[in-house]
Amino acid sequence: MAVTGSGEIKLIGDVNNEINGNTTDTNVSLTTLSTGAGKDAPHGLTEFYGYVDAVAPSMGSNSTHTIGETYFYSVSSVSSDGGGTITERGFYFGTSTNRASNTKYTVSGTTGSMSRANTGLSAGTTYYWWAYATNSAGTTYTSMYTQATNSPSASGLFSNMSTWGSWSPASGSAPSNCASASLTWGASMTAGGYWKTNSTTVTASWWLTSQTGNTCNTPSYGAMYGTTVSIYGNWTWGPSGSGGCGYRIESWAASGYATYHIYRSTICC
Amino acid sequence: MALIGNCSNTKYTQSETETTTETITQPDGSSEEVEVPVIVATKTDYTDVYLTVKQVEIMHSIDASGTKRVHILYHIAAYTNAATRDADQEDFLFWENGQLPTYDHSKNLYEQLYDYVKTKEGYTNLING
Repeated sequence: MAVTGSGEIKLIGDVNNEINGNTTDTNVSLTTLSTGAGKDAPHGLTEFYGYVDAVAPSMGSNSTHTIGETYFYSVSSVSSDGGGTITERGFYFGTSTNRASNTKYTVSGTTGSMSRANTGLSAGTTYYWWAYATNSAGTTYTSMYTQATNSPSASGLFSNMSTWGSWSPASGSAPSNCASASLTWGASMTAGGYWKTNSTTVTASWWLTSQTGNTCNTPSYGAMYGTTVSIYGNWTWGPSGSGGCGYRIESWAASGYATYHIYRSTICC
Repeated sequence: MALIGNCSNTKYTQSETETTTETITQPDGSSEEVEVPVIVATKTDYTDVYLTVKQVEIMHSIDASGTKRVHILYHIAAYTNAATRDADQEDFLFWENGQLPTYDHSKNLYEQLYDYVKTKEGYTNLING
């Protein structure tokens, strides 16, 4: 730092010299220098040397509230803007454990608490959500929060079972690899409260928990889950080489306070 | 078993009069703006409550990838005192439900629930009663 003969520190010019590498603009102020660098102007030496770039926002903890069969509230917060303006914040929400595969919901506001009402959900279904906030330095995401909706009440199950469910198609060929198969809800099922969804062609999943035999008309029991389609486990469709194995849903039953439907299927070979 | 002391409870509801704009962006990048009700958080303080785990549900689920999960869904309710609860478990000051984020099979479920409730916002001043 150069000092004049009178002892005056040529601060403005020297700072400019250090930054711009020239000595021609001797009357450049700290404000002008910092503004030219795209920063918020510091108005004093301490501010100038203490200046740091913004960092990504900090997020608070996640929680859920008022959990119902078809809804719950996601609550989170942006605890710090990181020194930069929050340009976007919100939630990722869906049924995938991969954040980017879910829908992003951008909500208003900057720092502080934020919440979202997740509605139109399926009962007894696992959902995943993340909160996030973005500033000029980047985006910060919370860790994944797992939340299940309440299972349907027994009364709801039975009321929806006034008309026994039917499948369309009610029978079909077994998949050759025994890995997966799908059915499409019949119209009578889409009208049911619990099984009502936004789609008229919702596929359902079933999971054979206690398959003990593969002979024709041997009932087995499985549990109904949500809206995804899979048959799990190493389970074969009938005797080897018999061919023509298939499935047929015979009837439905609801367990009292169970979290899922129980059904009976018959395997015919 | 119960928790006692001072606490606060926050209820979340959707405003019937105010709306805000929410941008919905799908994984494929398409987006739309929708008007949604403003969420209203109402915090209420309570003094010398008797808070218990009123209901517990253990739910098993399985997702599309075949991953099986255990969900511990609970209801808590706060009463003016134990006698009030004993007389009528529905005569509560407020109730709230939630989900136990982690579950240890080797530990007592109720203890895990009470310990978790004490970590939640609004309930950190409660002690075992």
